[in-house]
Amino acid sequence: MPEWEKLRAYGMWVGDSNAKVTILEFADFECPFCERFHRELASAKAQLGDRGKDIALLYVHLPLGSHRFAMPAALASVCASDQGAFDRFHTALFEKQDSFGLKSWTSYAIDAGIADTASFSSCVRNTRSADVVTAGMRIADSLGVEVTPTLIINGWRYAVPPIDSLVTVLTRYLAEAP
Amino acid sequence: MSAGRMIGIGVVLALVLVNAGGAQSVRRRTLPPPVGVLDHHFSFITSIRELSDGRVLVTDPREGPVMVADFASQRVTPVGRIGSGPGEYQAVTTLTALGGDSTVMVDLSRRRWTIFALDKVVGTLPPETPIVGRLTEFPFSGSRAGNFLSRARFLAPTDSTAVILVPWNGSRQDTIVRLAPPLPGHERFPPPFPVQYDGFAILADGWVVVRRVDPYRVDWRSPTGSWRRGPAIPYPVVPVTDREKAFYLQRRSAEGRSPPPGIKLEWPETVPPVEVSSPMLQAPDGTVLVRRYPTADAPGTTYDVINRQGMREYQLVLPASERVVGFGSALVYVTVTDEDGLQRLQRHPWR
Repeated sequence: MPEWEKLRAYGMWVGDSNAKVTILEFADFECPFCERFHRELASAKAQLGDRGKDIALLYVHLPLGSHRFAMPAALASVCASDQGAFDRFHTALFEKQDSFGLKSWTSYAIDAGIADTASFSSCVRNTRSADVVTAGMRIADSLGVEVTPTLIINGWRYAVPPIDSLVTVLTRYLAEAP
Repeated sequence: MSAGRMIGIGVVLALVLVNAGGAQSVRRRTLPPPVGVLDHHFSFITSIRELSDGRVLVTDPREGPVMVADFASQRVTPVGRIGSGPGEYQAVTTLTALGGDSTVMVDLSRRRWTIFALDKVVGTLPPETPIVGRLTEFPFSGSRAGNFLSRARFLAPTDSTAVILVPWNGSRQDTIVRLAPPLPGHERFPPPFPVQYDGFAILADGWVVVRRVDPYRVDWRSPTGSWRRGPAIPYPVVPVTDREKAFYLQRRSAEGRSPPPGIKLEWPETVPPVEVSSPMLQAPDGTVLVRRYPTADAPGTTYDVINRQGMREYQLVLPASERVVGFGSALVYVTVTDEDGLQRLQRHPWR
């Protein structure tokens, strides 16, 4: 197993963790460029059709101090993950990123189709920190990652996400995968 | 203090001779005492830009907006604001000096470049600006004329990657050299510690410098396109012993960047010659500084000072807590990091 894959322990999966292509993303829910990457990745996977199923995202939390709602959103996403809904919840956050502070986290949970909103609300109220968030921030710091989004695709780091050429890039990785 | 006086002081640099690689002795110099020290504490200075009136623009992304520092009055004041409105910039990155007192702050992630005139934000280059669209990769550097050097877009690992030169009007991009991987910013992740790769930069006067690591040498490309290949530069071979590993890990820990737990480090057999992540900086006399890798026996900050023939003229040695962050017209700017990790900025004469 390549050493970089040990970083898998520090994030949350969207997609099949055994997919041919893994995009590890250091991200912040309030970061507008992360929101754009989220849209572009969804579009790229749609363009790739069935091959898009061989692409998985590993979301590593890096809430930036300059973003007021980034840390609360990260903690809320951990509560959503407890109910097996990180994928849908992180999409709900990015889709209505401009409503942070105006809309409750529980409302986002409803958007994400989380049924047990009482447990979710209780979790959000009582969660002040989460190991997976702290670990993401620590691992980012140890690896010198300071901006979001920073991507590592199958072990290769992209300091600037290749947004304009995402389909080309993913196609190459899919073709090279065993 | 006049430039002449400063140059006079600079001449009294301490000189010693040391054996650099078993076959050659190299002069070692220290800097003369500083002629200016800012009382202000910074977190982590990433770049400076000296203005013609002696003030200095400073970027410290952890502290907020770009700042202008006046060594005479000790005032440090913000320049512009972080934001998305007119005349604002979204992130603090690094500064590149253009002609006169113009400066550009390149933000590759957001594809917006901020233009400064003296200490004022005077414009923003949006994503559709030709040069902004062409320059997409780290690392990059720019000359006073606004010619930028970077890499071709990184799509996926290949056998080699083109280093491209883009003029300020962004009308074209010329490949001037191809480098083999690993490459800065896109190394296999996490890299073996410490990874070595070839570096490149365009300097203020338009010359391009390419720092090779195997063998260690420095090549030059003139603004007219002719190349000069530098000779191999000797350096002592230091085996990576347990002591060297402990020294490396202690340095990383002090920077708050210990390697991730559970990851096996791929140590090289010998300590590499160059601190590849450190930028190459052009001194006022046209030489370029290449930072050497510290070792347990030489823990200070050491730079090879290389002339335009690719020859090492001497080594500049600073305490481990100090590093060169940039140059002015006759001064060198140095950060000094204290025990709490805070930085101060000071300037010294340069020969």
